[in-house]
Amino acid sequence: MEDDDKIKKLFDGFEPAGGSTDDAFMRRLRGSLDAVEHVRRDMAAERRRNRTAVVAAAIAGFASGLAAALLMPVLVRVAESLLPDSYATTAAWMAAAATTLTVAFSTYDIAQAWQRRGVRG
Amino acid sequence: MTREQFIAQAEGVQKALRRFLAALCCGDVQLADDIAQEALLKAWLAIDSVRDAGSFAPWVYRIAYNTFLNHRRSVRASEGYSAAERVAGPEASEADAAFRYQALYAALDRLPEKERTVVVLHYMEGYSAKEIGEITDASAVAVRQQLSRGRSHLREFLEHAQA
Repeated sequence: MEDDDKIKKLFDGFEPAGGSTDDAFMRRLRGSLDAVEHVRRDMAAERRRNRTAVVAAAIAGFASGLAAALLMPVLVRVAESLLPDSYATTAAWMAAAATTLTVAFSTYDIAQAWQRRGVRG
Repeated sequence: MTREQFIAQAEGVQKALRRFLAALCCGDVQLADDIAQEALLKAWLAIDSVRDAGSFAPWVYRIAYNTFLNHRRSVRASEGYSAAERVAGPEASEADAAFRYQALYAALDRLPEKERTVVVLHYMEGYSAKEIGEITDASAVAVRQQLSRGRSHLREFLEHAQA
């Protein structure tokens, strides 16, 4: 018990000196919390931009694919004038697919750039 | 918990938390403050896991303890007794305060980290074995054993210091 008292006495009134004041500590903490909120807002805005760009790309890709499918007879005739008949249909479909893919990716990039135009700085 | 509620809770617990960490860090108050900041930030990021306001303080202590352990693992060599020696600053009042606690820092520095934590939480913060176990993720029996070993080591040190 006496040893316990000696140990307790070691800790009596322990108030380490040299650190920042309570106010400074809390100011620093508030600054960190502000930074966290700033990052969270940026990440939420980024997620919204990505979602919008993906939807725009999907719509553009769907529209482009639909147009290609409707225009396929024309595309096949054009391909037949440039390539042997056995390759014409395949080439027409590949051209349609490549065009649809390009439209989708380009729409995604344009949508991202359009949304970011007011964000810089 | 809203941000303002969290700040109010943090304001209530920060002084004791920094004191606890200063003891764990054997007097390195700058490091203790850095660890306290990191712990409170981690607490804010995981705030949804707090069940009620009453469990906030032990929960933050647990985060602070784990943050302290992570920091110790990342430091290659223990600074040991030299940390206690470095505490004396240029200001006379700070040097006096540092000297007053130098025996405490030296004693704590001799303890393994788990014993040091248990001793500080028990004697400085008044936590029971069960509460300490919740903070350090140990059973109450293990905490009592560590407390007993910590007392024994401190007793040896005190006898040696007086000799």
